[in-house]
Amino acid sequence: MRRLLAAAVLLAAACAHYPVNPKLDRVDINQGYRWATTTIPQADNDIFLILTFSGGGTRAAGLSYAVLKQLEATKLADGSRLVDHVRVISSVSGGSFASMDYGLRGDDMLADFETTFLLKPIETDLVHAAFLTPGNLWKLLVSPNFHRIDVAAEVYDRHVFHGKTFTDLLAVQKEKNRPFIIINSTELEMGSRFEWTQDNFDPICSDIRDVHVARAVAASSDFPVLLPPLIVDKYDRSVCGYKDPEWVATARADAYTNPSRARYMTELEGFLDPDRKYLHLMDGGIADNIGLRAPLEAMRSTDTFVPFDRKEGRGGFTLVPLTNLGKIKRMMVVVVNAGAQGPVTIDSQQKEPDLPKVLGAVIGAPMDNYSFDSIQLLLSTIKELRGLETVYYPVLISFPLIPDQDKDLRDTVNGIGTSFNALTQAQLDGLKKAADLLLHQDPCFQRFMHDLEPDKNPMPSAICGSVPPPRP
Amino acid sequence: MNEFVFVAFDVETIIYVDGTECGKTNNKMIVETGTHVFDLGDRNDYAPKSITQTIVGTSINDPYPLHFVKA
Repeated sequence: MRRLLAAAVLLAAACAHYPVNPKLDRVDINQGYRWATTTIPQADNDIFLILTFSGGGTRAAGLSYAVLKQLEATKLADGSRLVDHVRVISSVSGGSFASMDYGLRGDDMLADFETTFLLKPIETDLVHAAFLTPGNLWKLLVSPNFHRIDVAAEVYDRHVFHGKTFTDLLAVQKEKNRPFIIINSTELEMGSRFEWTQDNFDPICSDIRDVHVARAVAASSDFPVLLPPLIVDKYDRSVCGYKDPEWVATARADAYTNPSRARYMTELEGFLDPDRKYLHLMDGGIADNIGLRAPLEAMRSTDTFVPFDRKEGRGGFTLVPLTNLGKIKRMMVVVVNAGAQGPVTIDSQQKEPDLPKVLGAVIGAPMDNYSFDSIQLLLSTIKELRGLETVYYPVLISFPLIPDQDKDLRDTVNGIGTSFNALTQAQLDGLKKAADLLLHQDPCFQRFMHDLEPDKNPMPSAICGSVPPPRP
Repeated sequence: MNEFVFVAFDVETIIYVDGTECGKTNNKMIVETGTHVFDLGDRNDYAPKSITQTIVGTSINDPYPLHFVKA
C-alpha cells in the first residue's frame, strides 16, 4: 500500500506541467490586454506621462515605487495629481513588480507596497518553495515540464499578485483609467524583446486573457544562469489567421536608410518562424534593462506587430498618431534607472576573479552600455520630433546624478545589492530620498512644472535640453 | 530616425501610412525614416490610390511634399 502511494505521488509529480498559455482562435483587435482595448487612446491626453522602470531586484522596485509616490504627492491646480496622468509604464525585472502591482491596485499599492513587497523577504519564500517544499521538490526532480522559474511564478502569484490575470488587469484599467503596463522579457534565442501584451501574443497565436500576470513578471525578472527560461508555447500563425502588417512590405528595402525597420521585421519573422514551437523567455534586462525601448519605438514609429484595423480605427501601440493629431500637448518620459555602481571588487586585487564575478561582469556590462545608448536615443529622438504641437520632457532618475553633497545617500542606494531580499528600512528611506531629490533637481521636470503652472513654478535656471529657454 | 511630410489634398482627411491611421492632410506630420505607402482610406474621390515614397533627409521647415488630387 505504501509503495502504491509513493508511486502515485511520483506519477503525479512527473505529470507536473507549467501552465500552458492558451491558443488564440482568431486575431481580434477588440480582445485581450493591448493598447487598443485600453481607454487611453481615446482619453484626454493633454498631459501624458510615460514611466520606465529598470531592473535591479528590490532596489529597482523600491526606486520605482518611490518615484510613483513623488508623482502622487505632486498636485496640480485642477486638483489632479501627476500620478493620475501616467498613461504608460514599461518595465523590466525588479521594476515589473512595482509596475504590475500599480496597474492592478493603483492607490492601494501606493499605500501598502512597502509592507506587502519591499520589506518582505520574497527571495526566502522562493528558496523555501523550490527546495524546502516536498511537493515542489519532487515535481522539479521528476518532471521535465516544470522548472524552478515556474515555482517562482507560483510564489509571485500567491504572495504578490493573488491569482490576477491579464483580464483582471484590463478590467481595472478600463474602470480606473490606469496606465498601460508593458512587462518586458527577452526571447533567449533571438535576443528580442518580448512584451506581455496581446499585441505581442498575436504573432504567436496565443490568448493572453487567462494568463496569470505573475508569469509575465517572473519571465521579466528571470535572471540568467540563476534560473532557467520561462517557456511560452507558440502556435502557428494559421491557428489564428495572423496577417502581416502592411509596413512589412517596405521595411526590408529600408536596410540602408533606416536599419531599425528592417531589424524589427526580422524580429517579427523570428516570432512567426514555423520551426519555433516555443519561446524561452528570460529577464527583460538582457534586451533592454531600463524598459525604455517599447515607449521609444511607440514615440517614433507606427510599425507594430498588429495590423491596423481600418474599420475599427484601432491598431498596435504607437503614439505617433496622437502626436501628429495634436492630442498630446506635453509628454514627460521619466526613466527610472536603478542601476548601481557597486564597490571596486575585481580590480582591487591582482588575482584572477572567480567565475560568478566574471559572469556578473559579462552579463552586466553589455546591459549597462545598451541602457546608456537607449537614453542617448531617447534624447536624439526627442530632438528630431520637436516641431509639432507636442512638447517633450525627458527626466532621468539615476543614482550617478545624486550630487557630491549627498554622497552618503549615493553610497547607501548604490550599496543595495541586486536581489529579491527584503530592503532594510534605512535602504527604503534612502531610495525614497533619492527619488525625491533626483526628480525635483531634474531640469526637465522643473521645466515641465513651470510650463504647466508658471505662476507657481519659476523658470528653472538649469536648461532642459529638449525645451530650451526663451531667447532674449 | 524621423522625418516630416506634408500631404496636400482638397479637404482635411485622415492619412494612412502603411495602413495605419497617422495624421491629417494639409498638416505637417511625423513619420519614421524609410519607405512608406500613403493613402487616404476608403474614400473614392482621390487619386492616385496610394503613393509609395522613401522619406529621408527632411526637417520641420522642409517637409517632404506629397499630393493627392480630387478624382
